Amino acid sequence: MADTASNGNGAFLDVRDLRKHFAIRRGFFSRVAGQVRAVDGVSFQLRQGEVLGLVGESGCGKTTLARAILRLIEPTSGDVFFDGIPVLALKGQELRRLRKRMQIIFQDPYGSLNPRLTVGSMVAEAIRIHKIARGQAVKRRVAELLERVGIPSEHMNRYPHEFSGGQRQRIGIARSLAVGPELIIADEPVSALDVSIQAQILNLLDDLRKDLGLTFLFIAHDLSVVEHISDRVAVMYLGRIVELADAVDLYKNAKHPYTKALMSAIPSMDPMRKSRRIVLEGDVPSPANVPAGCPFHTRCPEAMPRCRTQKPKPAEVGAGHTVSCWLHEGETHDLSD
Amino acid sequence: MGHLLEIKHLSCSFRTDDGIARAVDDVSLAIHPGETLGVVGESGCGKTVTALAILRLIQDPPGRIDTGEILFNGNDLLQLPERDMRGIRGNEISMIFQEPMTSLNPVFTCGYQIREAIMLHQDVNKHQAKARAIEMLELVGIPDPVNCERSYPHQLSGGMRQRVMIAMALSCHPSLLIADEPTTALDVTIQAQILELLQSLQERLGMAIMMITHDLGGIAETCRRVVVMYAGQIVEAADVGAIFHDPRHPYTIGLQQSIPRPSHKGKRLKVIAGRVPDPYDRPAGCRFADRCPFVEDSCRAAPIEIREVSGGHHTRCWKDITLSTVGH
Repeated sequence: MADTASNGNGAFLDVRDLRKHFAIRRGFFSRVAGQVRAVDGVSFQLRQGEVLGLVGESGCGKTTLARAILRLIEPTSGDVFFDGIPVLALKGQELRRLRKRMQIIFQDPYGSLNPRLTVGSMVAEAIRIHKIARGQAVKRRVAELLERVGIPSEHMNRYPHEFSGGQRQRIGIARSLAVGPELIIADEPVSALDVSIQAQILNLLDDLRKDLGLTFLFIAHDLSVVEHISDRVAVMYLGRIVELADAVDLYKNAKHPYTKALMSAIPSMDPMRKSRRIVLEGDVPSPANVPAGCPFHTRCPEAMPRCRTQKPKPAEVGAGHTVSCWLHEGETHDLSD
Repeated sequence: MGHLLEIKHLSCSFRTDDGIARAVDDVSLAIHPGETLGVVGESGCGKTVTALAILRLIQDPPGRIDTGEILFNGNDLLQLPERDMRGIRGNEISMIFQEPMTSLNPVFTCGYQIREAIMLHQDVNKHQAKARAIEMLELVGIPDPVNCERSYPHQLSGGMRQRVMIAMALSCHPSLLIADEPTTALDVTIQAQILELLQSLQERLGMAIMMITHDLGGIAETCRRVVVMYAGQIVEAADVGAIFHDPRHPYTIGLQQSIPRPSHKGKRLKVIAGRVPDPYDRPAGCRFADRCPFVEDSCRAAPIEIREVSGGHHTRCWKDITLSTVGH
């Protein structure tokens, strides 16, 4: 597999300067009145077998990014290479073949399963469409998949409403695994679940990665969850990645003021530790009206005059640790050189 | 010092086509004036129903308060006529909800909705009420209160809406504020803002807060006492320090250990196996028995009584389970 990776710098997934802008249309003739820059120049690479966590608040473009990579929506510009294949150039049959290798797990275990299909037929549908098995073999494969995610296979004739939230999420995972994917994009897979169930699903995802050698892009807003499961973590704010580092490194040595604020908002489990929380002022600006200069300057406790006008570029501050912030300009070399 | 609120042996049930679900089962708790009590539990454990029972907001049918007393300043709220109850709701006890979007009325301005509460409970005219509303909006940290007073809920962000809800809840200076998952629907950085706001308002206004949450982490910094609920019952009640450092119920221990922490990176998360029992068909003995790693036959035989293990620390487990038992 690796020898075909000629176009992606050897990375399993290589996303380059990906953008997705939505036009805001107004008036009788639907003229374009503005742009929502949901994803605004995102680049990162994912090695095979790695888990990259993606954190950010609602509206920062995490989900749009996930969908643009899978071409569930068409990106405005940029490049995506999956195992060396230029994803954005594919059409028809070729695209469908690729879809077998890249799958998504959705956040809402209630909305993402068809209430009129039994869970068995839902998983079987994916197997049939991609012609992975036929006849009796389909049923065997479905049973195997359900057992793999911890659902007794004799429940395959039940409907989604007969399962709890955690079980439904397991069924969603089984459906994604049905086509034998190599890359899974998990879009907030545990945020709708109770704490004790969350841990069960996180363990399941971790097992699947080890046993099946899966590569994950793991999206969440909960930093402690992301930190737990990921090898590396990217922090997103208003359509851009503001910091990317090894998970342990990011936790100990966060550089960007936004990452620091997110870190300090992780609830402490120690009642003795009072308020070292960094509370950010104000709300996230609308992606339809991104502030000039550094997009974070309106809320940044350490903003300087130049932050209002000049946009910082990602710069490397340590091995594999990049940050887009003027505060760390001195200690770095510019990656665009 | 007397209790501000004391709930004694409260039980509530819901009658549906599937049978009778006892949502709250023999719950007793107390809140002192000015203190923050945390009520923690997963969905369906009865924490919200307990809160609604205090305000007598449980819809009947299908719901019903079966037994118990809810003493507020010594008076049993369950015995009050509806007229008097109205004088208490929003005035002496008020509540903020999880969803700031659905709990504000979309067709009235924020100012109108705050004024409505003030004029209903206090002897003020329209102008005074408006001034009061703007003052409240300023108090909860809204940058442009005059403008916000005129805005409709859809014009505000989630965090701002929750601030409006808080302004409305506090507009009559209640002595008890019930906060039902006030930050769950909000973004992480906004959550921090709202928690900080509630704490500073409590210091200034001196009201007691009943903080209902599913997030054990969120209460560590805000509460003095904590009640843990499971399947309609209180399973553990203690000071916040004891809940975190010396929990005595296997459920509390399990809950704590299932939260991912940086120090445990790379290790498997300890999980609570299985799931919450069906509310229509709960086990006769300990309700946590099917998920408990320390279960014995006698756990399943009869209901477990809550007992005091040390001063003010109660657990609904007859065994002596501690963090060291589970090899923490």
